[in-house]
Amino acid sequence: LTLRSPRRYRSPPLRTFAPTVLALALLAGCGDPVSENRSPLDRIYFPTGLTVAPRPGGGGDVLYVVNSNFDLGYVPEEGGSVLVIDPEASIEPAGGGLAPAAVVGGIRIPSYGGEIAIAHPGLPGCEGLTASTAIVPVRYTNETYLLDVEPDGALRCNGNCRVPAQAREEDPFGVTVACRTSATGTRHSAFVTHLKATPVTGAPAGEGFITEIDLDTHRAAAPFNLGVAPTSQVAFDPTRGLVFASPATGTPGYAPIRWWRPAGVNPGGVVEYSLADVNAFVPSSIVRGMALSSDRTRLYVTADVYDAVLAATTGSVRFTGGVLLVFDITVSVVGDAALRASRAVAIGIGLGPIAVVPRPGKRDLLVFPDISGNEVHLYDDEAGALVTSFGRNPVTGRPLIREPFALAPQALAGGAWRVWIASFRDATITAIDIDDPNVPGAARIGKRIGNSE
Amino acid sequence: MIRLAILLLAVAATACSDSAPDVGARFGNPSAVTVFQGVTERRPEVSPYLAVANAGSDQLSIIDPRDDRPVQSPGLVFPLSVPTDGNPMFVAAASLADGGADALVVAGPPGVPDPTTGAQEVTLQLVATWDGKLRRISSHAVGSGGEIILAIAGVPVPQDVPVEGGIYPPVAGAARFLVALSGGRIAVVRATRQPADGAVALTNESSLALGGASPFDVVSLALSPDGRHVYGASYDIVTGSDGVPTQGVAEIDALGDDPAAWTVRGLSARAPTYGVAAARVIERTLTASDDFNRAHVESPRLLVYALPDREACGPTRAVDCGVLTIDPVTGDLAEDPLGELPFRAPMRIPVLPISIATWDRAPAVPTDADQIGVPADESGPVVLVPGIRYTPGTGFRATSAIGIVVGADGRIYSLDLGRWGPGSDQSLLRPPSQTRVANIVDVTDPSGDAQIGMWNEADPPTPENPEPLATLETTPAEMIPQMLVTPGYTPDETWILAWQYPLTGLEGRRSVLVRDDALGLVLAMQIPEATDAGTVWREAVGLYSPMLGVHVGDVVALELDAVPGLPDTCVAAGEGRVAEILPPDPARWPGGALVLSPPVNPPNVAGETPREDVYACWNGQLASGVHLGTATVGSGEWVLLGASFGHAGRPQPNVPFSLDYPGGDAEEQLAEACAVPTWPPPEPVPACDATCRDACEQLAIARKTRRFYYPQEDCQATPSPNEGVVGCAITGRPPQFAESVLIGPVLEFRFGLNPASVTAEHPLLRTAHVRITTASGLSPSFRAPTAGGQATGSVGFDRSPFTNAEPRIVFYVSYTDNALYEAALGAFATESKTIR
Repeated sequence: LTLRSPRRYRSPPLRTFAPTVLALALLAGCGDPVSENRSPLDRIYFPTGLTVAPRPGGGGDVLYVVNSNFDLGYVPEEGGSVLVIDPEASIEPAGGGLAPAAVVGGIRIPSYGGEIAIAHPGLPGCEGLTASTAIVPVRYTNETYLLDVEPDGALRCNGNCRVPAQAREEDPFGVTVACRTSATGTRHSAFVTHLKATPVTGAPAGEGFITEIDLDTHRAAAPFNLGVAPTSQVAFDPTRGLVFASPATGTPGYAPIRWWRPAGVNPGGVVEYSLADVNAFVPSSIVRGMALSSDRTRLYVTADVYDAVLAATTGSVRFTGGVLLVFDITVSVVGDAALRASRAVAIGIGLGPIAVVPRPGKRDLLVFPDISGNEVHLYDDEAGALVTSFGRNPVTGRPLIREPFALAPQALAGGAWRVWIASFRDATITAIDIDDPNVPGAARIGKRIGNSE
Repeated sequence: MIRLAILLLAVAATACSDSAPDVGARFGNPSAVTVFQGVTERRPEVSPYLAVANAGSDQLSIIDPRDDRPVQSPGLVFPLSVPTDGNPMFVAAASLADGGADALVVAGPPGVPDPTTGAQEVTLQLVATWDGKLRRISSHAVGSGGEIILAIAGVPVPQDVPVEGGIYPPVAGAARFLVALSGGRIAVVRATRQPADGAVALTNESSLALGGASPFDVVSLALSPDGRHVYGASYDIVTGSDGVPTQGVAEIDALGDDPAAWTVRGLSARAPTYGVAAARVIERTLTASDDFNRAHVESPRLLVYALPDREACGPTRAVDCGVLTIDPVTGDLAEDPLGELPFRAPMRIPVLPISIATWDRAPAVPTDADQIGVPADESGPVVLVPGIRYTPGTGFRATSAIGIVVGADGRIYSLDLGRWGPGSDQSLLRPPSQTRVANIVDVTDPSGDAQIGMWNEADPPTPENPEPLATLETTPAEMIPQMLVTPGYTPDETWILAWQYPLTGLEGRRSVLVRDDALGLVLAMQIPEATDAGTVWREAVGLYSPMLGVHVGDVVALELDAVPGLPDTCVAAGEGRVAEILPPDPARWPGGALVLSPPVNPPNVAGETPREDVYACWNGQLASGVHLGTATVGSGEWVLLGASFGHAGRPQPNVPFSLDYPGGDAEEQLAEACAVPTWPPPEPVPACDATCRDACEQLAIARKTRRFYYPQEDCQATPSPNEGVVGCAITGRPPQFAESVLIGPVLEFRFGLNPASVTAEHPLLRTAHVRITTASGLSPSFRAPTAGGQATGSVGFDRSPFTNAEPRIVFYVSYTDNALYEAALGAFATESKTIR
């Protein structure tokens, strides 16, 4: 989402928040000009990353929220943050309304943070981890933060928490944990995508890079090149040992989903990858979100479709529709994984990332935002149909979640699920409660967490 | 002030004009479209309108199809908007068969619960269409919050007794909405006319439980032209009222007042389905007097068209992907009109199909130019009856029924149902686009004299000349005419006819060479990966699968990775021959493996022989266990490979070779004889001896040689647009051949070698080959709006009462691009238009 903002130091949406920024500037003038203008550690502020993970010391799940400081309202170097919120302790006031965020802890990071992933021993293949780690790519400083997770869920930088870019890769954004065992032993890794690459003479424009970071040593391997089209989101399939990467939005006309076996990456960073161009299935599409099904037999992709004629004649990209694509991950007789389009469902414009809610014996439920439409859709992959959309207050007509973006599913007791959705514009986090995933039509808007006043 | 003045001027201009101003439709992410008869302030009489559901703006837009303009709101400068509940995803209309306004309903997802009661119902919202004031007037609950609407169809209430042609007239003053809900239930809502004011009222009837103890969902509904049956596509196993399970389409017999008692029958599509339509079709016949335009002399028949689940169709499955044709009389796929395939070839669509719609009624105001011929009786003369104009790029024609398939690429692919498939925008029969061998490139022996040629068959033997001599043609221009292709079978493909060539997918793959004490040297194409549970084999190639075409005697070229202690000779490029093909062993070689024997190649024309010392090193000095390397499996003899087709057989020099569908029931017999027809195989892996493997390989090839298209043109000595060419010009066929639809091979030839001294004992250089490019000539006809966007809904409409010119029969397709596209299949593509 922050791609829409110009790089650093300049931000048109500032006008929208001019009064706030002005007030902050005035406040900053009353004290230390730097320290007073650092990001607060009790507020949600243009969130771009969201995940749920258990407290290492027990006591339930906590929410991790990456605040991007999208408008650079705070000093860029310390304007972002990762907040840790106890959702259960965030109590709605009597009579309803926004529940003030019960902040367990927070840590400042530079601006333009991206997604967040938590590596903990409960993940497949990660059983050997002795501690939990939060992995947060940060675009402003071109580095990835590896933060220790305290027993209560709070985050701490142990002095070796910043992993800088290795070469030409820029703008780290997407992240996934990929713990696995290889011929050289068990590897606790994270893969990080890059929305940009430094152009060099002789190389094609818009190269795509992926960085693998060793979670035990906090060291990044040399990034490997996936050809044309930068990378945006990444997912790991521990069953087949495959990593999937979605293309970033900057490559109209070409939107390759790429996948490879990390065990096949040689020390020189050369990787043999396969690809499927989403444009071959839905022409003139730009990928917005990607997720693996819970059984890893399907890949879900959201994409926006643009007016190709207009783009070809004027160069301007006007989006005309959105689509959810369902790919079957098939394995050919020669052992190669391949994507085969199974369904395409036309849904709105401005789609975003996807949260997957598994159901025993049935295909998944998908939750994904329509960012520009201020809606959140719930799709039943078993029925192959849109179940419901959460958009506006039925009484007032006011959007319930303005510019929904980051999502995080949370398993609850008794088979229930809750999907948390961060509103980029409203600085709130809203729960969609799915009490019985087999009755998706009964899903409802639940608790809403926001900034305490 | 200036704005006000402009507005007043605009209003004044409107008042001086006979026609309404075009205010723009102002769609908001259209999600569905239907046609209904109703009354608006624009026209006091009952007239047809289009209702477009807008999921993005929570409203219905109303379009007048007479001029494709939106019906205006009382405010004049805005289009009429009918507000609905949030996110309307479905809109459906049903005629009450009394000349009055239709029942019109709209529905969406359940939405958020009522804030006071917590109730969350699935509802139909009834729209008033009868009093000139289009508006939503009520919500009618049809399901609980736990259910999802999957499809809605408005259907008539059939009378108990049919009239001529098996048509069930509708009961006047009533209609039904069938609402397919998740959980295997169809809610039935009856719409009835209120005598007092002509209004429509909705009442719930009993529900139809689909499948009984084995419930199944239907995700698409289509009304039969007989007025009695409704068809439902299902991803699930369709269990009929008789308890018989079927993969395909549910046929619901909607005769009777109690929907709970309606019977359901499964129609086999041999695959799950997700889209369905039905049409009453008069199909063409194939006779010598076949008339290009008026060739429909079969009796009308009801056919059901279905879109198969992509997981269950394709060249390795029982059915190809495309639009399947089902005959409700037999309950199975319709017959192949040529009697060759076990069932009719699916109508191939080049992209993922999203939905299908059909139209089978001639225009209400027909034209003589669009007549088709039908028999007056079973043996009587052909008489002409009104038909539907259909215009692909190859020219207009008349037909009895048309259809559209909306693709994931936003294109609307057109179907001529009377001719069993899509029209083609270029000719498969006439130059320059005809089915043909487009090119041959000879890379046999660039530095030498050896060549691969095609035999130019001599004149047929006669008593005077019992052994006529044939000529070996060796230049591309001379070789091409010696090959035979067939329209509808020969694909767009690049073929390799080669000597000892890497098999498709088996070149340069990471592999393991196992030194087994009992078996000797065993090669498996797989990659080891250590896990907590031990070694897991990744990317295991199914060498055991006959689909890959590995034969005993094939060449295995291998280069082992250098590791300390391994003799240098063992890590050089070496090879062996396939001595045995081992079945999968999950622990050792999950895709199967190849037992290797020593290389046996004789010297080739360059005098080269393979290094036997490398094989000897493997066999004599390798330790027991697994050794990593990179391997290629190539044919040990001549082979024909297609870039997409894969292994196509093993032609032999000087012997006629035909890549041909076996016909009859041969495919089914091969399927019965093959224990591993698909990959991965069932567990445990069935035993498959040499006979079984041969059947499997033949089956794999046969499934890829099925007909994929029935040409729709005529070849009767019609002059070609190309100067100097008359009639058709298919490679290998005589000019002006009369049969436009014929059975034949994908590719047929007899190749030879020059000089004749190139023999099995003194072969060509390895990988010597000719590259043959074939062109199908098929370009499925489509319509598409100029802008992008995803198609969401579609409906057919007859414009002939309002116009004297084409287009008459059109399909309206809604796009999320805030547009409604009018696809005119009877006019050239440029005459279709977009409504915004």
